Amino acid sequence: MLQNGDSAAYGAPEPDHARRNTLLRLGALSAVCGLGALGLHDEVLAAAAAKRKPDTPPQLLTREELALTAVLADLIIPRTDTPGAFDVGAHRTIDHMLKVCALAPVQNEFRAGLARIDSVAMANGGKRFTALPPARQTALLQALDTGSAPFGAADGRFFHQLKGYVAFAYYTSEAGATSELAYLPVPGGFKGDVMMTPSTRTWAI
Amino acid sequence: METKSTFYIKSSPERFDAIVVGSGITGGWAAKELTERGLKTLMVERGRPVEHGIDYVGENRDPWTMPNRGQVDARVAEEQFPIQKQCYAFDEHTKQFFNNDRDMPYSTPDGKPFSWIRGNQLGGKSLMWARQSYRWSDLDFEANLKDGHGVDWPIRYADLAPWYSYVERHAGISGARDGLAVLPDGEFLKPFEFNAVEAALKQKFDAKYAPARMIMGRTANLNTAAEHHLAAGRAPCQARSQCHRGCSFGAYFSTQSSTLPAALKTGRLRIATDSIVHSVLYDPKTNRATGVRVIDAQTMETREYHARVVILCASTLGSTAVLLNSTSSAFPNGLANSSGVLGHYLTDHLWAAGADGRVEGFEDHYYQGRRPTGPYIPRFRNVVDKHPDFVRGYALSGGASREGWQSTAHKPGFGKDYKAMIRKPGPWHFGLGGQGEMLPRFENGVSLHPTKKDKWGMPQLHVTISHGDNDRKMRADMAASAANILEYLGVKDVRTKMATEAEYPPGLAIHEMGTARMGRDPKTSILNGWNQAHDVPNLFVTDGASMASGAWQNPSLTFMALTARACAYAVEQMKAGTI
Repeated sequence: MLQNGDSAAYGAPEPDHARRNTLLRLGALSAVCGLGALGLHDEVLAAAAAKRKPDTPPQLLTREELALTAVLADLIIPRTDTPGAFDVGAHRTIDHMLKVCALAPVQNEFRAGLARIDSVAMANGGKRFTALPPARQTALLQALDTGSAPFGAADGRFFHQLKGYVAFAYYTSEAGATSELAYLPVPGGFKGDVMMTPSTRTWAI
Repeated sequence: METKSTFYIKSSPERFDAIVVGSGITGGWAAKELTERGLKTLMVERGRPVEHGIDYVGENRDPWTMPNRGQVDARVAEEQFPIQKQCYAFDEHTKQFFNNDRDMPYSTPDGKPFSWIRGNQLGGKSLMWARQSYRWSDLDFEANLKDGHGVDWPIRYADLAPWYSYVERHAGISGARDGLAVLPDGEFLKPFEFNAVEAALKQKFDAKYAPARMIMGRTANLNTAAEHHLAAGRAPCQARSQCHRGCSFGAYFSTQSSTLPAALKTGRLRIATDSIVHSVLYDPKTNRATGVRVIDAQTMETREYHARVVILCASTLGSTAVLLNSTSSAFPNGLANSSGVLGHYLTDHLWAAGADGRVEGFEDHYYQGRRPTGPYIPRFRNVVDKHPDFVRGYALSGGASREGWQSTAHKPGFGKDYKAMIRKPGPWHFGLGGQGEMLPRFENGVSLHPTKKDKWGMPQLHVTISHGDNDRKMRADMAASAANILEYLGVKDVRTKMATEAEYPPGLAIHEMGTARMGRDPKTSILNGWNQAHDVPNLFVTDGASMASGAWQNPSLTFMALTARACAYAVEQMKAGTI
């Protein structure tokens, strides 16, 4: 079963991170929401469209919720020298996991958590979270991460949970496990003591 | 070796020399021993066939190739596996080896939960067992006699010692010769290594708490494979620690990797799968078991198999259920139950009590591979001194590891720095959890429900088990002593952890034992010292049902030794013409 239907292809990181992030978000939005009319430059839209595969509807979330999940996930685990959460389709995995492996109370909590983020974004920035400029988004996530104003402790707990979901989706993905972390499916034996080097990475499993 | 079509049978007019009911750890051993000793043997299994390698469908699967990344569909788990999902080994890779709770219901009294973890397939729970393999000692075999709980074991360590060696050599047990009186050494393969933190803590522990020791857990994984393992097609452990998915390397002991190939090699084994044993057939004129009546799991049709001797290896509750359902005018309350103790004295191990914390330093050290065992502190309570609150004792097991992404992802932050932080192994943690001996008590047990049936028309089991005063006090001490040890060892932020009985019901240690116990006196026990029914001499029960007490060690190695010993005895008796 495919879960990462719209996982974008990834290449070498671009030097201009701001531009890349904008592209990424637009790509995410148009890919996951089918949104076209965001007043974007044609060239940017075309670049995003070229990257995306045929649009598949989300399994549990609405398209807007999926887009918000995608943007949040990529802010949590961005592309660096390895793919980021959006690159591996973490938002699609989260949508699938919530649909299949969670029961209604957990699904509802997740959606309520997303709605809170959007409503705080509206109240504080006049726009939905996904439409805010990156700096504003980052500032809001900093408040979320500590459960501080304009968010509260419950929002902080949701963000904590969301980070768990994003990490799960990302580090169980092929790129997350094999290029970001060290993946050794068949170690061939157990060595009790190996010395760390600067290149040592956490075992994915 | 014969082909599948030869050894799988449905019906057979022939009278076998022996019938073995069950194909798990003990059923596999019984089949091996009986066939190798010349007996034409039928193994009867209620579940489906599982072929070594071929049917390990969850093995060699990367997480991203699994539909749910290793997690089980929540609705499937809720509706079909509400009990099995409580088992630590139950996941998307392994769920095919756990029984469907919806199809196989059982009952418990209100407010007294019991979680019955079952693997009904060829190989049984040997496919997903935890593999910890320990000898018992006379501290355990003499316990009932000395403190009066339970009947005296009819055997002592010396009776079993050669059989422990015998099964260890074949199964392949990795461990060190530690020279401990409470945990006799065996025929071991090379032990798994400690990691840097464990090695340091072990040194500190051993110096402070002698004669108690921290040793490496002995496990039925081939850390190295002996010649005879390699010759049997088994390869060394790859340190995947995904044993529960099945292992094509045959690196851990299971029926499929170890005993079944040996039994099939003789050409004397036949296997009837999807055959639910309804009862043992009994002839009152000769006072002998004559075979078994089975219900076909697929077609519901009834058929009979006949043999000169019947060995029950259907699991603790499974074997007792068969006996309870085998009624006649001679045995109205269950076959071989003239004593009336059939179904009583059920125990499980005391679990889910311990402590853990953070270990500072060792930032330069890591490990490679996933070790399928961990450090182990054999029993130290009531060995030399006497504890004021309880009798008997427990082991502590656990280990040290560095936090991985599952933990570090919950630390503060997001973005590039957060991702970089998760890339590096997190701080070290060390934990210990107890496994304690539950006292055998008459009121803990199993009976046939008077009205409820399963879909095959078999009476449902009604299981009643709860902890007693000694059990509760021991659990409290398990958690407290684990925490004390950790504090002494310098572990930081020590947290004591103890689940309530409701949170962690009996059964989840998956060491249910007793209900058809061995004993010296036919008036108070079902089986004699050879696992032979006092009442019906050609009927044997060699699995966990036969245990007169549960000790504190993992019991499977003892089940293996008892089974091999009982089968050798049965064959001798058959040759001598006494049965």
